[in-house]
Amino acid sequence: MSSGATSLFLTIGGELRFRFDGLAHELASRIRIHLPSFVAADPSRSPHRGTGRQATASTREAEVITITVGEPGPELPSGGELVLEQDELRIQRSEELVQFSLQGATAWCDTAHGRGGLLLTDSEPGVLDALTGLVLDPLLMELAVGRGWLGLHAAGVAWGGRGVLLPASSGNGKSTIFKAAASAGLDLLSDDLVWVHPAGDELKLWAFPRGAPSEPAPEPTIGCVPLAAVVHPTLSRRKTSRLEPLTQKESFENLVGQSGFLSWGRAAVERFQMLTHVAQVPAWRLEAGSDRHQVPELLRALLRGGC
Amino acid sequence: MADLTGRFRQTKRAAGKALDDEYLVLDLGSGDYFGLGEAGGVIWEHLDGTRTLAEVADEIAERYGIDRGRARSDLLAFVDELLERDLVEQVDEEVG
Repeated sequence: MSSGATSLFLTIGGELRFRFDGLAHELASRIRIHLPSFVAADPSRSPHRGTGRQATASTREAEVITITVGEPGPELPSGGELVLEQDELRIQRSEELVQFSLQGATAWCDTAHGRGGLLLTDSEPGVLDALTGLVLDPLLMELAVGRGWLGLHAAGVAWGGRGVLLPASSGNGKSTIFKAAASAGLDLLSDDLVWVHPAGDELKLWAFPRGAPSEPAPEPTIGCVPLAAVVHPTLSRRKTSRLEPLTQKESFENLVGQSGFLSWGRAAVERFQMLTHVAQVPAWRLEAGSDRHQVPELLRALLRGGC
Repeated sequence: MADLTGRFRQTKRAAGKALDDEYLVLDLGSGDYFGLGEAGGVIWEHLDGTRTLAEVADEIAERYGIDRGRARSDLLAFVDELLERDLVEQVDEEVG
């Protein structure tokens, strides 16, 4: 890296770090002001590592996934295909390569080699917001799944040391339930993107606080917790919220849409295996009625009952 | 189109896994999936390029006590659908 460049990090607990290399100092400053979840120093080298509420008692070396900033990515091989062209976002892919482009930014990930890149031609707040919502999440999810980290569009809450995953598309109540959970005193992971990672025989949920300032959410109060239940929320006109058990297949059907299948090579196989693992966790459909403030109590009762 | 003397195997775009009493096959390229019954899952596991479709159909017929002719015609229709979705491919003669 040249002396005119620096690195920023996004971290998942003490376990996995996304290192963005080659950032011009001015761009790094802009990103840090607008997206405060980016940190300037690698926490694994910090003497304070292991302190604070998000510390997860891990002493082993963190895995690092590098995203190079400022370099154009590899050419899409022949046979590449267009996955999505919607508004300003365009996604193309081949078996092991995914390319994203939107106005002011392009990104790529090479799942065969576990590396990615980002090229910003504009660092205005609007571009950084669009980058966060449309490109960064799928880019990180695509890169991390090859390391055994499944990113899901989901909220994550916990109580009594047991975690609930709430996967859903936008508009189905993730943020509403997350805020209600915060008010009710449940432990909080993330409101929109949660990581699942196997640890021995169990799956663990990991927080990932990286929301844009335009959509503030309560901060995580816990970094990692064993996954005890998967609750698929929908907003309902019912007066009373209710939970209904789901089969593994029904749970899988709901999970698959929240995991972002892009490349179809080894990363996709890994993603499928992890999704089927998550689908074997006890699952429910939650119809969140007009008494949504009661939902945290339903979740608490679910966890209290041992799922 | 599939024929009974052909050997077929799953493509790289497909993955399968048993969940509850169903067997799920996912098109890794599209994220589309479909559920197969128990017998469908057994057939899917047998599509590894080592056996002809006739051999697979006969094994299914014996295992589930169904008519051999019916098993063969159902299997051909099933494999044709998988071929259309690019989830299986025919294996060259010398590979089998």
